[in-house]
Amino acid sequence: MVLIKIDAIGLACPLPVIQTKKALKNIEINGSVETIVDNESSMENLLKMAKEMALESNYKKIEEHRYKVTITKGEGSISANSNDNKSNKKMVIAISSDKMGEGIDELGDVLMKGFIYTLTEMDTTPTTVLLYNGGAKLTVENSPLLEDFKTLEGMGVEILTCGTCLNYYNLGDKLAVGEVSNMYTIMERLQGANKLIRP
Amino acid sequence: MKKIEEFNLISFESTHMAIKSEKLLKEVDLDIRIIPVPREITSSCGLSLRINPLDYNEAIKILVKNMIKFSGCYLIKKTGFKKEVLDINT
Repeated sequence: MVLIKIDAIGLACPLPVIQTKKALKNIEINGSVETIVDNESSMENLLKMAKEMALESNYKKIEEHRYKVTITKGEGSISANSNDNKSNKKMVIAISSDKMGEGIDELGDVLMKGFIYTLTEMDTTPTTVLLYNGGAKLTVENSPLLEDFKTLEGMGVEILTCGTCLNYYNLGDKLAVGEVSNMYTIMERLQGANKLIRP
Repeated sequence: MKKIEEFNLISFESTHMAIKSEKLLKEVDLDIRIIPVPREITSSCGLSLRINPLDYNEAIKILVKNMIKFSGCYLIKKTGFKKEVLDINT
């Protein structure tokens, strides 16, 4: 039984939810996430999220402005990796290059910048954005798209960058948004996608 | 708790002009970025420059000096996903 504790005191909405969701993703089966928040609406949002993910939850008021929310993932929880309850509508965007399409690089560059920017403006967001090979260059320090990826992450999008690729390009310690991923996770996300987009 | 942003936008007659403008203005470190033309604006090549209002005058000066043709100048106010477009062509 794994227990992950999160101190979300002082964090503005929706950060407590994002962090808790992230922690829950790291639990395979049988584990709980305990999140301490300092306001009632954050607490309610956490409970709502647990309900959407069909997970058991309970809360306790520890003292004034201190609430403890415990969300438990038992055996057989299925919505583990889904971003929300739309588990039958998983949209995955797989980016395999830092350019969009084939042709002249200068144009491909501009198109990719436009693609990610536009993604932040859509009201339908993907569940996951996968970045591999040249795509891994987009989520590291000094990438012109960093802000946009951070915006997406704030919207609850899972940003996964291929670790092998970061290593190959010598960017191992430069990842600045989302998480490092491996081929198993990449495969899982691709296979689990109901809609796959490759710009 | 909707995010409110305000920025200037210049649209271009050609993609090449847009890319050239981005380069010119990046060279002098202005706060700009190239973005697709928002749906609210119809004409032009599909690329535009998003400019921090603080850098707008300087940007225009440089573009005019380099004889860049643009097709429109706008002020955009974004509230959440909603955009308000003000045409400031003179």
